[in-house]
Amino acid sequence: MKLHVRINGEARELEIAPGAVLGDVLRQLGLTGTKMGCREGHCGSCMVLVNGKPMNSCLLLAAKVEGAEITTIEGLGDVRNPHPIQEAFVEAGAVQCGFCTPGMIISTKALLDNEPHPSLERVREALSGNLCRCTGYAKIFDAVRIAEHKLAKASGNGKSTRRPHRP
Amino acid sequence: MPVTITEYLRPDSLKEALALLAEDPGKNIAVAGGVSIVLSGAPRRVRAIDLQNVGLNEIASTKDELCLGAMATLDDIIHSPAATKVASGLLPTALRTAASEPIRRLITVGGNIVQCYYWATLPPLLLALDAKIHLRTSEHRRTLKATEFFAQPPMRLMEKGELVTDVTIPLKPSRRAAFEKMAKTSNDYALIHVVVSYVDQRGKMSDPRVVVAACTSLPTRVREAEEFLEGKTVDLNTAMEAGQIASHHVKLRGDFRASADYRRRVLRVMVQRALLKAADKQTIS
Amino acid sequence: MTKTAGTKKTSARPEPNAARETRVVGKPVPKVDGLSLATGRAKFTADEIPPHCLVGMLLLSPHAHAKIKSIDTSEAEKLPGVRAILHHGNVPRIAHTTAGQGFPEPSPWDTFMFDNKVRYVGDRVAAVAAETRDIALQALKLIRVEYEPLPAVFDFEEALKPGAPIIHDEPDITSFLPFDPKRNLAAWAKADVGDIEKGLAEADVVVEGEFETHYYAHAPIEPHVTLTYLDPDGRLVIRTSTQVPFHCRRIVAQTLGIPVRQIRVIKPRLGGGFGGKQEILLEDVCAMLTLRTGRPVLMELNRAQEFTSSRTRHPMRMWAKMGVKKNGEVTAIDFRGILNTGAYGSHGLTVLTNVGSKCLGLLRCPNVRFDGKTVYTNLPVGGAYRGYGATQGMMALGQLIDEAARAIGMDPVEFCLRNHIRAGETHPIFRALGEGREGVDMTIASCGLAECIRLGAERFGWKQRRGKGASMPGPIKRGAGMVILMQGSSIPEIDMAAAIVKLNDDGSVNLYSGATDLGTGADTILAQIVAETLHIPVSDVILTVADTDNSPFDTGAYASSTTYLSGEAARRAAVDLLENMRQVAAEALDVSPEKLDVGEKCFYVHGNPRKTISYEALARRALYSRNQQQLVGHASAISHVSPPPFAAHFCEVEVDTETGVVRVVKYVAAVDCGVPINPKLAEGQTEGAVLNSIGAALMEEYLFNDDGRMLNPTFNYYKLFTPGETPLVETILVPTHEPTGPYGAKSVSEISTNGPLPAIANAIYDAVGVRLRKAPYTPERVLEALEAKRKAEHS
Repeated sequence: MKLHVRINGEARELEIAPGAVLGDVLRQLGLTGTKMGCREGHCGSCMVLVNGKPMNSCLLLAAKVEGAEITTIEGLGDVRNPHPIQEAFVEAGAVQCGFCTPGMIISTKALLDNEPHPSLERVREALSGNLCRCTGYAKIFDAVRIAEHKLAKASGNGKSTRRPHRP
Repeated sequence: MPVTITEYLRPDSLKEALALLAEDPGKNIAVAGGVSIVLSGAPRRVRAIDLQNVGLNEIASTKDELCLGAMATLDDIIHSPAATKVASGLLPTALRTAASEPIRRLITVGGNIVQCYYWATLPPLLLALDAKIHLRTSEHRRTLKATEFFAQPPMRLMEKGELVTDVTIPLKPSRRAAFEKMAKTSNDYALIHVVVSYVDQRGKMSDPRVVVAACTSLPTRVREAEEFLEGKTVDLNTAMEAGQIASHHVKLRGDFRASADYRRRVLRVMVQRALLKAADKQTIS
Repeated sequence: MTKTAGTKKTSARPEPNAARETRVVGKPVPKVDGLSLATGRAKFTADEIPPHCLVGMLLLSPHAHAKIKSIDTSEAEKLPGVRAILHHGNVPRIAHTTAGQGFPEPSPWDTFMFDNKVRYVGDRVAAVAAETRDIALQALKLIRVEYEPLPAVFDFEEALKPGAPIIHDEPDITSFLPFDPKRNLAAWAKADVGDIEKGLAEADVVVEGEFETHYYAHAPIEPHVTLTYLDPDGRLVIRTSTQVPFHCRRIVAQTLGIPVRQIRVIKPRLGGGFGGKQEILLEDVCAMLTLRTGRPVLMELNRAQEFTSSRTRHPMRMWAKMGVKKNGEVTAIDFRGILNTGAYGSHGLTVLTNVGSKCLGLLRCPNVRFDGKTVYTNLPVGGAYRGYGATQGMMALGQLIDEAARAIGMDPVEFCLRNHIRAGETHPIFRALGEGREGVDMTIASCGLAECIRLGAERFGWKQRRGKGASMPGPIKRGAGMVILMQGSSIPEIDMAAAIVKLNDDGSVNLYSGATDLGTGADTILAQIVAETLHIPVSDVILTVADTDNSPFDTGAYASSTTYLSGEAARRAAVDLLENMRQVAAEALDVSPEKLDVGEKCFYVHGNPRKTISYEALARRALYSRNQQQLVGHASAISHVSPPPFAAHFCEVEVDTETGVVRVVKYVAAVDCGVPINPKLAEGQTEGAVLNSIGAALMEEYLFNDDGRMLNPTFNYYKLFTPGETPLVETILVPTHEPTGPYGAKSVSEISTNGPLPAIANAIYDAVGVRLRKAPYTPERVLEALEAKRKAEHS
């Protein structure tokens, strides 16, 4: 069947199997920053933004996102032009093996887009769908804090790095 | 691999969806959030009818009741100002303990209560709040009380081609409530759910509800505990005794995650704590 | 004190491995692969699938113990899209071990690619390669296997009884080490130093207990995954999530019966290993499917298989006894244990000996006895897992230390300070227990344990937090516990790492190393060490690593060896290059090499900083104009010692006495890892290791039914901490200078895994007075223990 979506800002018409999950569809497009760690909705390494909201792409039928705006980790930035959250994760030492990192960053992006200054409790809640086996999470929480400051500074300079979205 | 979906349809109206579901009912599957469809991996070949655009997504309230559309997600309820009006914010507080935030965006009201997995969060809440469940087929509609709906696995009472369209919850300003969940991690499946609620009549409990779930095969009202609490004031002794009664009368399931005996001992404590919490007399952190 | 010796010539002006001011070593340099990972561009094994790639899948045993009477694949073969099916009837029968260890492996060769017998639920039965996942799944269902179920044995001690089912009765398995499969013994080890009976007799108090650790998983977020294909010359390429590329190449060559030269192993980015990927689990089968079909094949364990059919922590049942005098002197430690290796003996001997060597040498005690057995059972297979025996041993010893201190009325902090091994001291257990060979005499050269204990206790607030539980009102009690720890750095006289550094036109370098970064940051550490040695920025170090065609040999990422040993190889290779560069610089500047000093990317004449040559000018001269040559440096490193890092952990828990729920509310880990090459990464290693084991202490656990089937092989029921409720760990790095390590470094990745099991148990005891001798400390177990205590007090 046909699927019409915008992926990282680009309108796409895709031919998909009606039962395919979004994560597999994205990976087949070469967007392999979206990882499949458990296929049961627990590890969160497959997290992508659907209309600005993080969702587990391993549980999401691709057919359900018809017309949606999808943002994957590749849509945030690249090595030459990284997103401040991506920089923050590296600075904080929040990246170890890096398999969970794209998902963590996607969840962080959604959180900070909506709540520029979240409490630690909110950070915990917003990331509770992302597992990391390497870091013990302390440095991931640091990264969110660093990202918060980077983004606040950037928007203070009038250079908004945040993409507005409608729920 | 998820189910083999041969055809994926996105009807624009409830009428159209019901009509599609009425055709050759055996081959259709209604898609709400789609989570259980992906996870079940049922080997059968099905035609998927997506309910996303049939107008069941709304959460609305009148002065008497709150109405949750079947396609509203748990996350929608958490962020709905209308939903916070019920029993001093019971719904958002309790639903925040269900799954993780992203998964709560995929879990719908209809999916959660129709599947009624034993760990589901919404069913015990609906029981404690005297909710009504509204169902439709292409031919007729009916309304069931939560107690009727959850008296058996809901799938069993649903007719072929029948859908839950919405759930209504009466708004009673003086209803107090509290929720307790026991699990290993913040988004783990519950080992035990306890919901208590009552109408506060000058410090005395009226029309109390004591609902236990996750440790039972179906969410269950504990009538013995409710009868005991009627007309009483919440204090530590009353709460302890209610806990005792509940743990005595509930038929508990044990499994590899926790024995029935352990759940019985903890259920007593959780009922007690929930009652004290509902009355703002919580003594423990 | 023995010094590490390499195979390289002595350089004209050796860079001493002594404490000095450093530019990039000791600094929190960002991870060199950080941004490519954070932007999702870095490629893991499954992220680059060649065209026309087949999907490989395993058929796994539903029985704990059974003979395969027949396999009928005819229906499956008829399915369109099925390209190959492997089973015991059509692959070579070559005994080997899946344990990726040095050669010959100190694990029994008790495994075949496929056998005519299955030994646990999840054992390999057959494999299929097909055009799609769906077809492969269907094909698996069409393979008809006739099993003859055999009696199975699941309990450690039952397995040792006469008449127990024999798990390995095949005649063609071997081990060069103690091995008696007819008695289900995969290995054993004994050590007896001093006079244990005399030591026990001298004690004023003897504390003892039976302890047990459990089955739990590495649970890397990336499951095991392997991609194999033939390159244009017909050589087999194995792109795989492995910690041991070179062992993988050797073991696959052995198992397939093809020469090593025909195989290239590449480790791309790796999504966590923790020891579980020190194992050849998919590579041989995947490679065989490629050889049979000529096509690329991708095999991935799904999450359930990752639990049941990869590797686990070896469970251990232990009986330990400690004698102490009233003044706190430890007079004897008697340690007996049975390690459960499951159906195959992977790492069964060396995990066992590490229980002794990493724990019993921690205390100054002259009389020590160790008696360990490793038994086969019909359960999932143990393997290397971060901590490697020390985790099991410290669960018991760490609690005994607490009990002993309490028994003589001494604060455990004082007790540990009094008794821990110190710099300049040795322990006979180091020689008595090696890893498949005799151990080595080792004198501790660096030990910051006293400082770890003091700083940790202070930061934690030991005095304020300890002993408060009983007096707290309400059902929730708090308590504090601590433990001291020791690990090692590499396997002495066995592990080897090599490195090559090559100078480029612009003065940058390529580092070729066999070291395997499994997410720990090893690549960054190596780049820092090379940059430091050559006086260049980290960004001038380009890495080519963990590719058996393009990297020199390295035993791999295990035994806490990468920073210490691969780092030392990189340092020496850089020193070698620097000296070769110095010769060229001397020619160019027309001075003798000894007159040259090293500056930022340049050499200059001592006392005359203006007479200088940049690395770039030097490189261009060598490459293009005079006395032309490629400047390289290379070196190999082995070690004669395994310098232990040390740590002191402090933990506060909250115990809900009505539900049995235990929550860790504070955790401080003070670690001496020598000089931390990268403090941020060292902290990260510590925090991750601690959280992994807090999970193991409180909730992570394999649950089996009576038939040996795991009941919870899913994240639905096997829980890891999420950010939602995770306790946070505070790390204190306590630097010492280890003279044999690169820039004074020791290891850091494993040691902190060993703290939470004992520290939490000790804290629970402090809170509520019950001793949890069986892990994990689940709410149900804690509540039972509390009720048993209440009953005992009332009777």
